[in-house]
Amino acid sequence: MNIGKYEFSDELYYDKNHGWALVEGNTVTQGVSEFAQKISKEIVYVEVPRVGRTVEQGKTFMSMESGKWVGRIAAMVSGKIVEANEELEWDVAPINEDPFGEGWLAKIEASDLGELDNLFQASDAEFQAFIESEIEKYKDILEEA
Amino acid sequence: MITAHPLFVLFFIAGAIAFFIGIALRFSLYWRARPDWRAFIKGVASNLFSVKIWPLIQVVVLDAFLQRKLFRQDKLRWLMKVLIMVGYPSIIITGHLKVEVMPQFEGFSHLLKFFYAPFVDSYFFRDVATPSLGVRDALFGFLFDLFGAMILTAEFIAIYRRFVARANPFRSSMGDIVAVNLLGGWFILRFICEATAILTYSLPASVARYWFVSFALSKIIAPLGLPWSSLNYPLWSLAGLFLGTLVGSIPYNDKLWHILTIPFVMFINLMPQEAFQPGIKEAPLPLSLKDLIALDSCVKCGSCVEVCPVYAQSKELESTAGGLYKDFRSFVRKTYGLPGMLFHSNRTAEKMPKGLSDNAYLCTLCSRCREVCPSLINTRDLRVSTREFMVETGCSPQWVGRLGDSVTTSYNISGDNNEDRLIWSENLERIPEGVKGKEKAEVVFFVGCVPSFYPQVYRVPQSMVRIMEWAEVDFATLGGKEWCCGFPLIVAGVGKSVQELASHNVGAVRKMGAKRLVTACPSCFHTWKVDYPRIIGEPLGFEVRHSTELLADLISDGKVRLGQFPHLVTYHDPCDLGRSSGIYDPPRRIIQAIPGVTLIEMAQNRENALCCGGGGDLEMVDSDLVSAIAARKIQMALDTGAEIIVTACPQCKRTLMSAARQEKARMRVLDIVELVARIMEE
Repeated sequence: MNIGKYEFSDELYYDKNHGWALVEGNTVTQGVSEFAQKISKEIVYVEVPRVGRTVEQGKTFMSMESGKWVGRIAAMVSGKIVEANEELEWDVAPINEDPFGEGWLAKIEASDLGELDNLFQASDAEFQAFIESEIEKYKDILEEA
Repeated sequence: MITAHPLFVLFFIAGAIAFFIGIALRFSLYWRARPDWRAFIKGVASNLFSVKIWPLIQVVVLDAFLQRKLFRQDKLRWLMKVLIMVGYPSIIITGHLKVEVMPQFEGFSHLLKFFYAPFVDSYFFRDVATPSLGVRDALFGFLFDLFGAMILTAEFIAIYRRFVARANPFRSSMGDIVAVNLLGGWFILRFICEATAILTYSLPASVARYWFVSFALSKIIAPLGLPWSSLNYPLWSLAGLFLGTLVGSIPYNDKLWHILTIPFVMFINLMPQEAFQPGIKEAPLPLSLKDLIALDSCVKCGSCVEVCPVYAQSKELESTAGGLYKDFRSFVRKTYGLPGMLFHSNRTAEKMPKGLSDNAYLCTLCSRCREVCPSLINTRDLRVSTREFMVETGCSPQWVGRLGDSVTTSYNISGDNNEDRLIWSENLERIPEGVKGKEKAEVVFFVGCVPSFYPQVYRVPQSMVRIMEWAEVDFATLGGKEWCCGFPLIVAGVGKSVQELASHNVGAVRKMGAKRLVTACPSCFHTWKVDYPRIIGEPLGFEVRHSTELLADLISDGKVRLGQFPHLVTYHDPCDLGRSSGIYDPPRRIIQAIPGVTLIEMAQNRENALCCGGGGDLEMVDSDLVSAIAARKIQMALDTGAEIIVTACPQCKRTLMSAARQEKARMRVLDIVELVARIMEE
């Protein structure tokens, strides 16, 4: 579904840090939303997290840079990183051009899928209200884009 | 016997009176920035009665008289300057020596002899009695014309450069034209006067030939058959009028005034900053005496324009050192000088010309202009002082205030929670002991905000701690207790806010019992080494080193051994490490110690290195301009044929990486610490 002009797939989970998560069995693939990419303008660098690293829901586990802005990406579930999109270290184009697809960041083997209850889906009224307030907050940047 | 003072001497005296009135006007502005006299005298003494006297002598000889900076830039301009710098003082000294030995001036006071000295030959030619001269008089004659010829040659070069070749990017002002013509015009007239005198008194060739220029000129004009004896006195009077106008104009003409300020600039460059702290509590002028003298020494010669990386992209003269100082000086004089004092025009913010404040921030502080400034102005310090002025008067851009608030509350430049300062280490497979939790160590590794919080350069501290652990260096980081060093605030003109940061950081390092502080960031390095002792008012009590200095020692001591790296690399000199801190060799020693590597220098390197564009807070002002400057640097690196640019600055690395990506350049950018960690044999 769309919130404003921005696509938010119904099958994904979201958080208020503009991350998205795709749950496939016990593996959660994480990325940043199209909306996030638009407000950060062009992302120029992504820190690829180390495979094997343990992460905690809500805690920063990687960073990215966009011009002089630095963004922190929080893990959407707790668990262990089993795969990282290492291509992004050499070429960040996928995260700018296909944030929901080729621009995925990391795959986490979740230790507790119950934590998904702490996340949102596109149809959640609270999430829609949040995105609409973010659209208003960043309207100058979004208009430039 | 001289019974009445001639007109030419009276004109000179009138000029001298105008000179002193002008001095008083100039000093009325300097007085408003008067320093604490005790600190000032201490600073003067520290220059004269210490080892600093030797670099001062070197600067006087090599830079003031022999103009070595100009020699590297433009040989014709160098010749012009050397001829003036040697010719003018020499002819003045020669004149004063001669007036002392001539019987016509016996009984004159020294003051009166001073005013007759430029015209001695009018009396010598009148009274010379014998058809041959003694060695002394012949030598005087020859030297007068030699030095005069040097000055005239310089004058012709100046006219050619300014009006024919148009070598100066700055337009000539009326003041410039007047100065050039007065300086040379007085000597043209003097030669004409001497030639006329030779003809008036029918001097034999055996006497006149020593004044070789005037003698030749007399031969040329003789056939005109003019009434030389009637013309002699009026011509000398005209010459006196020119000289009086020249001298009287000095304080009112920026180009002439700088002749007097340059010796002081040389001296004050070596004095400590504390010598210029304000002498009155509420200083009416937010600039120091040092700043005013430096401002007055700029003559818009254009040397800075040729090397300015910002100008190379923007083509805006107003943001170059010379362009900024011209506008800023004019504004300061009007607002704080006598007109300001008389008409109470101290409403700075309202009167600030449009764009002046913005232009003050359009600079990377790379200091290339300082390297080439023939007036020896410390352009970097003066640019920072200009920014401080903008802050003090409420005229700085809004982002400066936001930066100051952000850094002094969050203690870093990214606005992150400062307790997260070790975020760069979280991706390490194993975190070396020393990264966190250690309370005592011999070496404190000061990470710096950029490597701590900007992921493009996380590998720099990651590599540094790996190397130090491998080499068994007893190190620790300050973790969340590390606060921003304050460099971004200092260069933004908010240096006064750095006191708390400096005190905290120094206290934290002292608490560790460290003997040494090492940092991989040249800006942090410079701040710790140069600014912190001044800010806290005492020596730090520990050594400050850049990572390249430590690594070079570890490699030469055999504690770090390097594996093969058969690649072509080039090295980018970071401005804050090279020009600002004088460190050029340690990084090169490291690279050259790597087996298999070939180092190719860029066309402009070391003191001439082109800035990457990432410094001086320019990123906050105009990120597109930063990208353009960096793109030029990348091209310079590509021209070497190298596969890799190595640098020794995390901010340079970030900037160059972004540029390489944007330009789609097939070139990797590595910090030297990363390179060493990558190839060291473990």
